[in-house]
Amino acid sequence: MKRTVLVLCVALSLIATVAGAATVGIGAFGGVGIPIIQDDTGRGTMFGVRAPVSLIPLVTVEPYFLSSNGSSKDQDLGGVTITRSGIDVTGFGATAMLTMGGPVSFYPFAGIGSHKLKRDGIEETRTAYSFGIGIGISPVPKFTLHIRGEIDAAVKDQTSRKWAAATVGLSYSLLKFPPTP
Amino acid sequence: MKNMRWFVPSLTLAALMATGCFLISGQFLIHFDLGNVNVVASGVDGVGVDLNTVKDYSKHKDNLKDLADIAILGTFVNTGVNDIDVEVWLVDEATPSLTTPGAVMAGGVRAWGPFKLKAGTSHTITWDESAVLFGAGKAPLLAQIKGDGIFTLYALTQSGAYAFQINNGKLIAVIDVAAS
Repeated sequence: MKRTVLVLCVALSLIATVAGAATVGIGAFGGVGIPIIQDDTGRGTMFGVRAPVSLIPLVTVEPYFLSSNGSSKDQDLGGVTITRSGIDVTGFGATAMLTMGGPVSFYPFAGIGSHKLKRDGIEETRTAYSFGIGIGISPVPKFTLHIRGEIDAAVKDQTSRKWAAATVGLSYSLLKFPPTP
Repeated sequence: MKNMRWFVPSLTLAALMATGCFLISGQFLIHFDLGNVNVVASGVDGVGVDLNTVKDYSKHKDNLKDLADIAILGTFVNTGVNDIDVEVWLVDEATPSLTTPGAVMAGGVRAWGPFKLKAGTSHTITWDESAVLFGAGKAPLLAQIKGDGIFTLYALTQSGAYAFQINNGKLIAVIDVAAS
C-alpha cells in the first residue's frame, strides 16, 4: 500500500508537470489537528513541508511530508483519572488543489498519503485521505500564504481515525517551466 | 485541460468512497470495573465480565469492527516474598469456576502480561504501561468482545510461591466502531 501511495504521489506531480507550463515551489506549514470522535488521543500539533507543482491556472499538485505530535488524553472514570499518550503521526503524500489564481484565491483540495501512527502499544501505517478548502494570499510575487481547513482520515479496514485540521503555511515559487526570458 | 477540473472532485469522491461511512465511525472508550482481585496461596482469582452491562458497548456492539486500544488498570500489590510476573488469562465462561493456574492455562488463553512486580512492592499501572502488555492477547479478547461480550478474566503467576492483589482493577477498551 505504501508503495502504491508513493507511485500515485509521483504520478500526480508528473501530471501537472507535463501538462503544460508549470511552476515548482517549496513551502512549510504548521497547525493543529483536533481528533474527531477519538476517546483515546488528544489534540495534535503538526508541521511539515510541501512542494507545490502548479499547472497554471487551474491545478496544483503538492507532495507533502508531515509530522504531528498528539497530546495526552485524560479520561475520568468514576472519579479516577486515567491518561493515555497521544498518537504521533508521520507521513507523506500528495494533495491536488483546484486553484483559481490571483492575489487572493479560494481553493478546494483533496489528498492521499501514507501515514504512520505511533505510540506505546500501537505502530501501524495507514492510507490517509484528506479534503478541505484553503485560502491563498499572495501579497508579493512568488510568496503565498496558505490558510487551510481540512478533514484527515487515516483508514484501517472499515474504520478510520479522523482529525479536523487547521494549518497556516507559506510557499515560495522556485522555478518556472519553460523559463520566461 | 478541461478534464483537469474534475481531478480534485474525483479525488475527493474516491477518498469518501474509500473511507466508507467514515463520518459515522469513531473510537469509543468503554470500561468495566474488575473490583479488587486477591490471589492467595499460589492460586488464582477470577472476575466475570459482562460487557453488556456497559452502556457504550451495548450501544455500539452491532457496529464494532476492531479494538483500537486496550488496557488493564489497577494498583498491583505483591504481598508475597518472591518477585512475580502477573498474568491475566481469558476463559470463555460467564462466572469464575477454576481454582488452579493449571486449570486456567488449560482452558484459556493469556490475554495480558507478564507484568513484573518485586516482592513487597506495589505499583499503580498506567494506561501506557498496560497497553503494551497485551500483544497476542488482543485477538482472543477481540473475539470475545465481538461475540457475546461475556467472559472471565483470571489473574495468576506461572511459577513459584506467590500472593498478590489488584486493587480497583479496571478493564479499558477503545472500540473501533463504523456503520456497516
